[in-house]
Amino acid sequence: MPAFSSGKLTPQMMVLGLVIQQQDTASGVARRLDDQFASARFPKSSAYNNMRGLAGKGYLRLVEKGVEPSLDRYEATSEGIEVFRGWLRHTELPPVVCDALQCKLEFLEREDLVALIRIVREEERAYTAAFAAAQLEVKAEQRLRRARGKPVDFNTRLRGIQKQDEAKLWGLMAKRLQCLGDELEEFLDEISAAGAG
Amino acid sequence: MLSVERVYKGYSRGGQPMGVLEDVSFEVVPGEVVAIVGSRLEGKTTLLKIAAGLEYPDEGSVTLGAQELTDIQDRCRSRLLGDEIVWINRDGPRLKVKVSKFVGWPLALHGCGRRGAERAAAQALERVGARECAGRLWGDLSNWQRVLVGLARAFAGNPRIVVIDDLLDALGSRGTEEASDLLRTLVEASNPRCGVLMSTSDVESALFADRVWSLTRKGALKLMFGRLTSEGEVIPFPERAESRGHVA
Repeated sequence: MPAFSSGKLTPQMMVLGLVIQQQDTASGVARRLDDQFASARFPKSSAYNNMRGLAGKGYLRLVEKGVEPSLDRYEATSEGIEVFRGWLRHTELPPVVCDALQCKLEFLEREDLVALIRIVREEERAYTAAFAAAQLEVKAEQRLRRARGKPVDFNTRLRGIQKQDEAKLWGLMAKRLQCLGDELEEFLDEISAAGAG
Repeated sequence: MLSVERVYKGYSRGGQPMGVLEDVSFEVVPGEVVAIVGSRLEGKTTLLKIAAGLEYPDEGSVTLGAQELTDIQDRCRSRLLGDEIVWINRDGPRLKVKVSKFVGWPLALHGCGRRGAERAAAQALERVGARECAGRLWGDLSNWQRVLVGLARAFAGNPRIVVIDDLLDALGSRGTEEASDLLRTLVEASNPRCGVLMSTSDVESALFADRVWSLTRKGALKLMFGRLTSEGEVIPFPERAESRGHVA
């Protein structure tokens, strides 16, 4: 299922960033990709494939050979850090919306409309559930902040902002899907009435 | 507890009947912040006015505790409004009055006396950190100061329900966070504990609510976060459902 796409985001860049955060093995990076970027749903093989590719480009170097390739430990090179900082500090314009529903609407035939409405409603429920889960975390963070005061720690504060942004994204998407579903249902009613008349 | 049950409301546009609210049910329990998210012209304000007893529904009922709001006499209604139910929005006072008078008005109207109302208004403004606004006019306030003054007015007395229409929109992340922290502090300090019903067109402003409902183009409510009813369990996905129809 497509999530949000603001600019170009590759699993390769995330893998590089994670190894810059700390030296790691492909199996460790795979776990962290899943933990830290759960909503992006990167493929499981991203870590292993990209670490070899990044090492080939000279952005990572092997520091310790493991008993199997997925346990080889890598660290970032200065060139890799430079490339990553370049990505971090530059915009990913022009704007990109990589949305499957937009593309499906392009190809939609009249007989597909009912099925599309069904999947819009399914996605609406899924995004609403994701919003609810993120909202729980935002509220927990709010309770903590009110009990202990605003955190001064950079990372804690940043994670709070990130969590709020994530909840907002899920909520916006849920609301967008709800509106799209309503519009498509109205459209279906109109063409059904026109057909019946 | 404020309870809105099976409310319908429609208007006539160009001779054509138009449904704005279709079988809407929800409740606000003491200590809880409930947000209604909807786009412009989707009927949020109509819904809030009905919940606050400012407008009649075509069908359905609104109760505050044991008091039915849809069939009370105007005199009782005006006593209830400003005393037990406080309505605030972006518009501020209709007349050109100073903030201190605007904040104390509901209290002055309900037997607090001029002096008592002035004192309560000053305390309320102090509590929200807007003391410097007391002598100013609404039109001279910034958006943020209007939020503070609105909240000061809402919590100057001991309301059971505070209804906030669009006041917290477009404050930005930090403003929303500060406003929601302040709102939560005021709710927790209220005695007896009051409930808050707020509308917003902006999902961000609803991030801190205990329950979030989305108002659809068809005038129905869908639960986005929280419990369907105060007694109900949190309904997990995929059973999390629409509230078209009675949710008991």
